[in-house]
Amino acid sequence: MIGDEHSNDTLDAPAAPEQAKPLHMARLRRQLAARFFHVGTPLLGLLAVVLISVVALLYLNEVSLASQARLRLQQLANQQTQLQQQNQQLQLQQGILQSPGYIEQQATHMGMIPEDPSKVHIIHIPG
Amino acid sequence: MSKELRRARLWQIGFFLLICISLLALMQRLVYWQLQQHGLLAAMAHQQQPITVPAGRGSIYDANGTLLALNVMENAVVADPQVIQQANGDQPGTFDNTLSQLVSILNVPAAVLRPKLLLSQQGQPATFTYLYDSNNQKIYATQDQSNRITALLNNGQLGGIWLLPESVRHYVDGSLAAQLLGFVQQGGDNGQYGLEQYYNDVLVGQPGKLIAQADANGNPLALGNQVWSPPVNGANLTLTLDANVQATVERMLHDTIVQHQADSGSVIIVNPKTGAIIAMASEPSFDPNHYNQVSPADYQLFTNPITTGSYDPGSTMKAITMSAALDLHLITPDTSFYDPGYYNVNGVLVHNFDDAAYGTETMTQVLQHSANVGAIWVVLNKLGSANFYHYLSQFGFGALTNVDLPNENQGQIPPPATRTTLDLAENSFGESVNVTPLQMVMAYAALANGGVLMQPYVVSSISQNGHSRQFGPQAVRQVISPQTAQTITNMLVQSAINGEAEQALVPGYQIAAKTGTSTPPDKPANYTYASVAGYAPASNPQFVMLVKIDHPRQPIFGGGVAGPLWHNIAAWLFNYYRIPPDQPTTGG
Repeated sequence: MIGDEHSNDTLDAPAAPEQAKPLHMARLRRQLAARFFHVGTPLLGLLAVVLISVVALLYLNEVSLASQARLRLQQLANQQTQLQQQNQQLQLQQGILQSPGYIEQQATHMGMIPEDPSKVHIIHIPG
Repeated sequence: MSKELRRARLWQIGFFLLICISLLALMQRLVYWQLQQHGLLAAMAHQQQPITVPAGRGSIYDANGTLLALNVMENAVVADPQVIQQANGDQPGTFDNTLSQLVSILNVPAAVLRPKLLLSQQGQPATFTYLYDSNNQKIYATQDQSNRITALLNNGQLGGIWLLPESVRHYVDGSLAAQLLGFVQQGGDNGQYGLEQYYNDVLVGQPGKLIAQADANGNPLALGNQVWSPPVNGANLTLTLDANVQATVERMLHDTIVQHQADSGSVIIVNPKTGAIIAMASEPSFDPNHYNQVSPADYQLFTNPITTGSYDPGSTMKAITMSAALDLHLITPDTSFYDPGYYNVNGVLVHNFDDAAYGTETMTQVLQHSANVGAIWVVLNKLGSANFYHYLSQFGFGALTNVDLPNENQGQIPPPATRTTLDLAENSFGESVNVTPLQMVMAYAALANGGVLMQPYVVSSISQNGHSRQFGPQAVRQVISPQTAQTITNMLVQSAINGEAEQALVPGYQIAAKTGTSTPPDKPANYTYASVAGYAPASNPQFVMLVKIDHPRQPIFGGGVAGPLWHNIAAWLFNYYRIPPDQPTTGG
């Protein structure tokens, strides 16, 4: 019989935790639900508001950063336009200063005169 | 179920229903906008006008990289008379404060500015308007003026005045190569005449587009969605033209025209081995920066007479006639005939230009004397009509050269159906035949280039965004054999010495040149086109040049008017390009 008892024990032993587990879970759920709903509606609302506020704050922060970046981009684009404009003006000035007409005008102011090709003699030195 | 649990369940159900209702509401809006209003929204989207961002027009450089033309953003000064009146106390005609400030800043007389500030202009209510200076040029504020105007605007002291940024085309050296370059119309991006017209599609680039959410004023929102495709600036052109040569040629041409009281004149210089145009100058010309100061009666100044104008070339054609006969081995330089001073062409006596009778003369002497009778003898007794006109077309006369410039004239040679013997005789010495200066200089370039006719070109490269397209020499055809080219070159060199082209000669250099003088059919005998065409050094030609002076008063012949100019430019070019002499002279 000992063997029977033993066999009964071995048969019942695994079944015991399976029967106990749902009960334990249900008990736990009941305890949590009770605590959760004991918090009360006003506090729950407050928590929701805080949560939403935090999310909104994060969103606004991101939007604000994006906005600042866009404005910075626009400022840089404006600066780029101004620099391009200055670059064009400098190119124009450089072009004028290097133009044959300007150089000739400056040379004339310095008292130089255009060469007279008929008075130019090319000397050939035999190598 | 406990009371608390039931309460919690109710909360859950309520919350769930709330979410469901919200989702349903959202879905309803979604269906409304995406399905029901789809057509309307799509149509509205299509009607949206994206902001067009103009592309910068490409610049133009000469062969040495010297800037010739570029676009610069400038601030145009604009006014709104209605706002100006409000800013001046809203009394009719009260704009004195604004006017005095503008006068002091812009240095433009009040009388010039006043009409643009009136509320009613030429019977029409005044609107947004540009301000113009005494020369009827749109006023663009300098940097200093812009700063002063901006400062006043920021202080609210110059209401009704704005600075409007505009891209303005600048031609760096004023009228330099104006007829070659053309110009760009103010306030637009349309190239007119010259390279600006021919290469307009390349120069303008592609405008960018900005599709963006905008505020009520149309300014893109910083947080709005944007679709941005940036503009692609126009390509830059690099020319074969040398600005230094061009400037010198223009100055010398101007001096010659003044000296001989001529109506106009042209000079073209080409590299005979490549067809690259080194200089292309005509006088009178215009300043493309102020093209709108040219009166409608003078609009022909915008056209390039070297490519669009045609003329009877006169005796410069004799070298072509001789080349044709030499190439067919019908004559040699020493072939001789008797020149009585005239030729009877079917009852019409055609004389030498100086009525001289040269007696027995060789073909080289025909060129030296520029004898019309000799050219007629060659074409009527040796060459014949078919051969002569065949060679004319082979040299490129009567056809476009396909130079990269607009509105090219192809000239005119008598059509086969109407050709007479007299036409043939006159054509042999360049009368009653129409050619462009460009055609004539390219024909001489063929003589200088071993008989190979090259295609002329002005643009050597087009570069855009770091990529460059190069344009090189293009041979059109072998017109005459290299031996014939060498023979005619020797004849031209010999004939220039003590000949009509003597004044074009430069000591130390062999110069192959021929003079030409012609009179248009509808003009008196003293109205001439005086020209010299030639190349140098003859042993290894570095440039070919045509000088043409229109209606010189005294003298009137090619040798006396165009010869000295040809000489001066050639001497300058030998020095400029460091071309060594090919006919050393001994000092003494």
